[in-house]
Amino acid sequence: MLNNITLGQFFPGESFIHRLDPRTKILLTIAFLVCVFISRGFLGFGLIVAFIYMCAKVARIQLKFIFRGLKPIAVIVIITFLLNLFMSAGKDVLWKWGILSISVQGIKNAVFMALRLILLVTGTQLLTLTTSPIRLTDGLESLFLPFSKIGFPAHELAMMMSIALRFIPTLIEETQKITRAQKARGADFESGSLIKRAKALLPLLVPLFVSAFRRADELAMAMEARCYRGGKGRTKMRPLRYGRKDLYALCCVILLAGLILVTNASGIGVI
Amino acid sequence: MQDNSVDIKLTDVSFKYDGAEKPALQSIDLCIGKGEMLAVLGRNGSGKSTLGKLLNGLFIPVSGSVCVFGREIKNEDDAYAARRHCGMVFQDPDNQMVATIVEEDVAFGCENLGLPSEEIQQRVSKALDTVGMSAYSKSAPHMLSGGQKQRVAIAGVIAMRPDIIVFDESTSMLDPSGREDIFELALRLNDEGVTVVWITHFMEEAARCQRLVVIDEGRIVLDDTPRKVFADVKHVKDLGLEVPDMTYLAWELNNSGIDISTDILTMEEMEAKLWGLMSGI
Amino acid sequence: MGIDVRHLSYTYNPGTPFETKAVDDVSFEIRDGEFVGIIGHTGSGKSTLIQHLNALIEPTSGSVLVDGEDINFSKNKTSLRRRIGLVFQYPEYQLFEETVLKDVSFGPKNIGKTEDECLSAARQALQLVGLSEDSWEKSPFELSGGQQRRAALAGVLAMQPEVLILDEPAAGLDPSGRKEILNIIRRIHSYGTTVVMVSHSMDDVARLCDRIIVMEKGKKVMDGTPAEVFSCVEELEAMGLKPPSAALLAKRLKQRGIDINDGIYTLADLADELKNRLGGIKKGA
Repeated sequence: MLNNITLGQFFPGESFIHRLDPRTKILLTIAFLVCVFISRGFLGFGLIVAFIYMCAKVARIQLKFIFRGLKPIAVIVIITFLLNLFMSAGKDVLWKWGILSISVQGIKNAVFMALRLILLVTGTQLLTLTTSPIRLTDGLESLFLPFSKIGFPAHELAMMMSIALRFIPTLIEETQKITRAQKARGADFESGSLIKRAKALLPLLVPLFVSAFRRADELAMAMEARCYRGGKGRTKMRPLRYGRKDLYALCCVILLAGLILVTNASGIGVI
Repeated sequence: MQDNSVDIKLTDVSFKYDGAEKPALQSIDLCIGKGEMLAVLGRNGSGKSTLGKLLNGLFIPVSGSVCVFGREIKNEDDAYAARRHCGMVFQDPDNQMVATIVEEDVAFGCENLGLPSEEIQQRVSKALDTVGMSAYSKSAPHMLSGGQKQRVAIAGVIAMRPDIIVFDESTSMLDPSGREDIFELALRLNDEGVTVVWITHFMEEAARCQRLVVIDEGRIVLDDTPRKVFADVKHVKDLGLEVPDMTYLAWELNNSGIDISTDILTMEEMEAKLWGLMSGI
Repeated sequence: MGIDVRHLSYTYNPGTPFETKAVDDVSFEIRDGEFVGIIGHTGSGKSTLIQHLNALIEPTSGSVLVDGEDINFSKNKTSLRRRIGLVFQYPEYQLFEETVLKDVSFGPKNIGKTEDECLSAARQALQLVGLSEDSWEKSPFELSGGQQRRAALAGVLAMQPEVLILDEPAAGLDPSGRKEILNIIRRIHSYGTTVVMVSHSMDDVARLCDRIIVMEKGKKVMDGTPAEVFSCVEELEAMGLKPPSAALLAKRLKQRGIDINDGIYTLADLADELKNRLGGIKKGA
C-alpha cells in the first residue's frame, strides 16, 4: 500500500499561482533566478525574500514546506559558506591561521553567497510545489516544441517523462512485493559484506527488470491500440493557454527585477 | 461489395510469431456481425489473444485476410483505420494506463485522433459517466482498485466511439465483484449497439454471450450459441475447458439416468427444471 | 506446529490522512494439519493478515505465536520462514535464476543447506508440482504461465515448510491450470502439511478446505466449517461474496419447500442428493 506517495513535492491547490500556465511559471522562475544573480546587495535580497513570502502566502503554502526542501542542499550551503568565509581576501582581517583568514569582507561574502544559494533553491521550490509534475512536463514540452523542427524530440521526452511518472508508484509497489516474496524464501537483504549484499539484490533486480520490460511491451501495445502514432496530429484535452493572470504574474516579476536594479544602482547594502 | 451487417471478416487467416515453430493461428474463418456479443474461449496458449490482436491490426496475418469495416488490413495505415473502429481493453489494468490522472488517461485516445479540445472534454466526461467513474476524474491511477482501473480503461476506449470493442481477458486479474462489474458494463455497451468480442476463460461469462467461439491449438473448433456448445459437456472437457456449474450438474444427473437435458445454463433454469420434476412426483 | 494469532491489528500509514486499519483485532488459532481457507472482499485485509504469519509484516499491535513464542521477537526469522512457507499472488513474478532447478534451490540455499541437499530438495519439489525433468534445465522464463506458477510454488515447497500459506494460488489461470494447481495443493495437504489458502473463489474453498475464515473490513466475521459458513448465504452476499452455486441452488430449492439436506455446498454433494430425491424419475418413465 503506497497510497500516500507524492511524486516530486507538488502541493495541490487552486490558488492564483497554482492556476498560472506552467510555461509562465517556468519562464518566470528563470527570470526569478536571474533576479537573484543580478542582485548585488542585501537590500535586493530583502526584496526577493519579501517576494517569496508573498508568493507562498498567495499559494497558501506553509513556509515549513519551503524550508523542508532546503535540507538536501544544507551541506552545499555550509561548504559554500565556509569556503567564502575562509578564502575571501579582505583588508580588515579579524583572524588568521596559516592560509586561512577571516575578514569582514569574508563574512559578508559568505553570508551573501549562502543566502544566494538558499534563495535560488526556495524560488525553484515555488515552481515545483505549485505545479504538478504532469503540468510541468506539458509546459516543458510546449516550450521546447519549436525546437522539434531542428530534431529536438520534445514530444517524445515529454511522453517518456509522463509514463515514468505514471509507473513509479507501480514499480515501487512491485519492488516491495518481490522483496517480501524473496524474503519468504529465506533471502537476506540486510546483512553481510557489501559484495554479498550486492549479490543478494539479484533475486530482486532480475524479476523487477523482467516485469518492467513486460509492462513496457504491453503498454506500447495498448498505446498503439488507442491510435497512438507519436506526437504528429495529436491534440490536447486541455491545451495550454496564456491568460490575463499570466500577464499579472509577468508584471510582478518585472517589478521585482526593476526594484532590484534600483537598489543596485542606489548602492545601499551593496557588497 | 461491403456487407453492412458484418463488422469484421476473417478469411483463411494464419498467424505465426517470429521464431515460433508452430503457427499460433491456422486457417481461421470468422464473421463478426454488427451488434454481436461474441465470446472467444480457449485454454492458455490456444491462440485466443492472438485472434483479438488481429482484429485491430496489432498483428498482421501471415496469410489470409482480415477486413474491418470492409477495409483489409495490410499495412500500418490500414491498421490505424481499423483501430478507429475497433477498440481494445487488455488484461492487466496497470499496463494500459498512460497518464498520471484518470481524465488525462481517458483523453489519450481522443488526443491521438486529433479531436478538438472541447469535443475531447465532452467525450471524456461522458465516457467517465458511462463507466461510473466521474467522481475519480482527477484521481491518480495507482489509488484505484483493479476493477476501477479497468473501468477507466474502458472509458478511454469508448471516448473514441468505436463500433467494436475487443476485451482481451479483461477480467482475469480481477476479484469476483470487479469481474461482474466489468462484464455487466460490456453487456450494457452491447445493448447500446457496440459489437463486443469477449475473450475469456471464465465459462460463466461465456455462457452469457450470444455466440461462443472455442479455439484450440490455433483453430476454431466450435462456433455456436453457448447453450449448444456447453451441452456437449464431454467435448468441452476434452478441450481442457469446463462447463458452467449448472450444466455440469445437469450432466451429472443426466448420466445417472434422470430426465434432465444438458442444455441448462443458469440457476433459474435448473431451479425451474428441478421444481418441475419434483412436483411431478 | 500451531500458529496462534492474538488480537492482531495492523494500520497502514499511521498518523497520516491516509491511515487505514487493514487488520483489526483478529484472533484465531491454526492447528496442525488443518486446511484453512480465508475469504473476503478485496481490501478486507486477508493479504495483509497472512504476511504477519511469517513475520514479513510486524503487527501494529497484538501478536503471532508459533510454538508459544512471539515470532516478532524471534531472532532467526529465516528459520521461521522455512517452517512457514508463503506463496504470494502471481508468484511467477519472483522467478529470477538461469534455470528452473537453480531457482527452486534458492530457498534451500538460503537456509544453509549443502549443494547436494539443495538439489535433492529442489528435485523433490519439482516432482511434487509435476514439472517434468526436461524443463528443469530450461530458463524459467521459457515456461508457460501455468508451469511458471508451479515452478514458483516448488520454490517454496523446496524449503519443506510445515505450514504452507498461499495467496490466491489459482488467480489468472485457465480452468485446467486452476485444477492442476489446486490438486497439487490438495496433495501437499494430504502429506501432512498444514495449509492456509486465501481465495476469491468460493467454489475452490468449498471443495478443498475444512475450515473457513471470513474477513471483512479488517475484522474476522466468520470462522467455521464450510457447511456452517456457506449456510449463511445472505450474510455472504451482503459482504459482496458469492457463495458456491451448489449452496445457492440448495437454498433456493429449500425455499420452494423441497427437502434438501443441510450442509450441502459442493456440486458433487448436491448431485448425489438430487439423484437420491429424483431416483424415481428416470428418463422415459
